[in-house]
Amino acid sequence: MVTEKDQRIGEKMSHHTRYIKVRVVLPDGKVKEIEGPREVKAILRRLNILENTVLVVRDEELLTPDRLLEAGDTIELIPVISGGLN
Amino acid sequence: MKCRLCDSIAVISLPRHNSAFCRNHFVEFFQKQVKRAIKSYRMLNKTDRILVCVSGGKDSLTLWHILNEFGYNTTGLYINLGIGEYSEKSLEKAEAFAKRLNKELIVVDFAEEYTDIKALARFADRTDCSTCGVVKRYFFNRVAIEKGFDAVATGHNLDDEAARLLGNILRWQVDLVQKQSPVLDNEEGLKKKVKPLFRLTEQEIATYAFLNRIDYLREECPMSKGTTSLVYKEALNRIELESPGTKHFFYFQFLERKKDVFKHLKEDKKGVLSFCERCGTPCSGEYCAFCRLTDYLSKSAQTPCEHA
Repeated sequence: MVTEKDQRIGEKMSHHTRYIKVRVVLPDGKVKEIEGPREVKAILRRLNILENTVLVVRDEELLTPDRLLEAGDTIELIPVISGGLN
Repeated sequence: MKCRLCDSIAVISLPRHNSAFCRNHFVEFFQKQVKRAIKSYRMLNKTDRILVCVSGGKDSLTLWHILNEFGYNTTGLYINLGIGEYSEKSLEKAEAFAKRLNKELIVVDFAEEYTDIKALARFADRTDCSTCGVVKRYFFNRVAIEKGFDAVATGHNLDDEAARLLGNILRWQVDLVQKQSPVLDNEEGLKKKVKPLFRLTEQEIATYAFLNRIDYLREECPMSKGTTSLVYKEALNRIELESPGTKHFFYFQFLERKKDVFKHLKEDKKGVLSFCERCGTPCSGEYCAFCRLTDYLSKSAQTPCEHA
């Protein structure tokens, strides 16, 4: 039997894990629509991008890896790594 | 995630400091790190004339911005290395930023005076990045000496320094390891060189640039693609994600311990230095690295077929 508490936990979990569609401007400027989890960190993992190598921007706002996205959001991934050591 | 110091939403998480900061507290943190770097290594004085080497990228423009915020007397130096469209765009960014700060930008046109970096690297049979490094270091120093600056400031950051250290250790280049430092003091023929951003990561610098609307060239130098420095940076960033603070510990413990570890080597090096017979720059042989490089150009002009 599903208790009220279980239901609340279930809703909370689905709020974090349910799949949504977002638009991602990749570090190379290409745009990709992906269907994935809501958490920024999980999206970066899915794209195989290390979270300390990009800034994540939504509507001029910087997002930390724990932030959750909404369906239809566009995020831009700004690369931060410079090449060459000289 | 909330700011560690107030209830606002954080703009950056800093696992290596077990922190997260909002916009205002991050800028405060950033300024403190730069001030600490300058003070702990006695890099700069408020009366110094500082030559800031700018490439149009995030690190150098951020450096110029923050030194200007602190009230230092700065002038920018841009070197045109002849890397096609990339050089044109980077010069535009540097010029626009100089205008924003209302500061002078000195432009040295290496490509016009000699040749482009790629051609020079080919003639000299060296990698593009090492050729570029020799040229830039030479002009940083030459311009600083000719125009009477007190110090040369570059935008090297913690990622640059940790990756360089890792690369030098992997190849056991002990002479290069022992020279690595956030500050190189004045010597005869060599101006003081400082790296005030050495305590900050690339992500922190990019965040500061974003928050301060610093318009830098995001595009990466086309010649840096596939360089080993990027491989080392990625390796360190992977380790850092698994074990936050490792990059910081690796480089800062090196700085802490190197005085004792390399003491005997420093003694051995004394008295070895000579001066380039052509330009007077201190070097270890008859000619400095820059003059040896540009020699390849005159040789290639005499025997063009060899390099065809």
